[in-house]
Amino acid sequence: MSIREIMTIVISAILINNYVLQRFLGVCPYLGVSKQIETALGMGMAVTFVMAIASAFTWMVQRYVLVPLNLAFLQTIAFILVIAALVQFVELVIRKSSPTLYQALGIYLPLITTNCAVLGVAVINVRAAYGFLPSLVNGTAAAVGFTLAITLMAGIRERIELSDIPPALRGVPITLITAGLLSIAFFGFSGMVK
Amino acid sequence: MSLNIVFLSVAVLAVLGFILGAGLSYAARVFAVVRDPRIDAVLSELPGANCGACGYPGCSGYAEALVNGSAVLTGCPVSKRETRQRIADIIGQGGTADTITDKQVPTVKCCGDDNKSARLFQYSGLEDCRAASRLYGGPRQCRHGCLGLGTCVNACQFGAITMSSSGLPVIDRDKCTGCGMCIDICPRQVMSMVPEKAGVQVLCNSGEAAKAVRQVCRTGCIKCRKCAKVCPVGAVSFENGPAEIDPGLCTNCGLCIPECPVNCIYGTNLAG
Repeated sequence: MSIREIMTIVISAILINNYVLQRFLGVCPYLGVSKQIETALGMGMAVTFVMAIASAFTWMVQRYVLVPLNLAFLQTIAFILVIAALVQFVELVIRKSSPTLYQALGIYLPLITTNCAVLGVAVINVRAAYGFLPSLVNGTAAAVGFTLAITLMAGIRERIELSDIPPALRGVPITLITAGLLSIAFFGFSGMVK
Repeated sequence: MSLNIVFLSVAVLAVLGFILGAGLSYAARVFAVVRDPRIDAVLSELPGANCGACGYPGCSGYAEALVNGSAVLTGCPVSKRETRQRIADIIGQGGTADTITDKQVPTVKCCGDDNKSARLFQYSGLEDCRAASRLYGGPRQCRHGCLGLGTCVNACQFGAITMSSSGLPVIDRDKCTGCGMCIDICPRQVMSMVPEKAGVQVLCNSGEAAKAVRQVCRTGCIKCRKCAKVCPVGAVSFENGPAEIDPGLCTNCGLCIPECPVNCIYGTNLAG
């Protein structure tokens, strides 16, 4: 595949079809872990790691197990199984090989099991009929887009924390309004790549 | 529709699940991390607030450091004497008097509220002492006193600090765990730790000369030393500027309180 094709997938997954702001996947960690830039980045890193590996593995399961056996309808449950096992495995490996990284990622690692953006990437890869490399690129770029969105949100929320917000809007309401505005801002990218 | 497809789906998922499960259990054995059972025992004794006052990432980090011997028992300011004794028993350290100290609580060394301490300008920025103190050193003329915007109230994880109606923080010593987060966050360093039983205190942080203090605050310490003269045990010193009462020497007799011409000595639990 050409560089041009790869760049199209990357730009599209990060900016135009951002998984959080345009497809509204993975909104739970996006709102839950975006109070501090540091933790948001940690979450982003963990998701990037898992999403890239999950894209590769789910592609292989789809291509070599489900399609040959005419069992494509088992996609969702099979992918969840693979992703959950993968997250567990990644956690085991990181705990053994790098306790520092394990400490930094903390609770976010197991939480990724239930991050619908990971499953979303896997399903969208299949639906777009991507090959192995495009799937991997799409997964990684989607995760980078997720990291971008959650980090932007954390930066804004850190400032909101110090601002004088009307009492009725404090906490969750102002966060949801911010998320909406950020999403509208990203709509500006639509139509950038044809 | 044939039943074959049902059996095939069940079989595929079962095999997939079995392979993944077997892989995980093998990985768990290969990547097993040997964990000292004492860590969990210590962790269950710790408060579990994960406040970070010990300097380790959460209670589990501190428990690990305790078992490794790289942390001391007094590292957790939140834990009580009995808790430290139990932890000492678990990790096989003889708990002695100097490793198990009494609870410390913060005190706000300022009593210059809005009526007594002069303003420099009207501040209408972020409701945060750290932001306010960066703007020309804060809206009060006194450079040492409390700014009264409640940053310490927000910093307290235990709801032990409230703002009084006159705009000064009040510390609930029962709710306070002594973690010291309010002390670290205060841009004026107007709070300090004292033993929980400390009763009589000089509530002024200013080391300026008497004339400078009088110009900006009606209740700032002017270093007249009348309190030192009346103190029967010599607990008052002027080493760091304003009068300071050594809680170790003070008998809570309260004789100095009426002597202070600017009324900046306050007392609780007075003897007699």
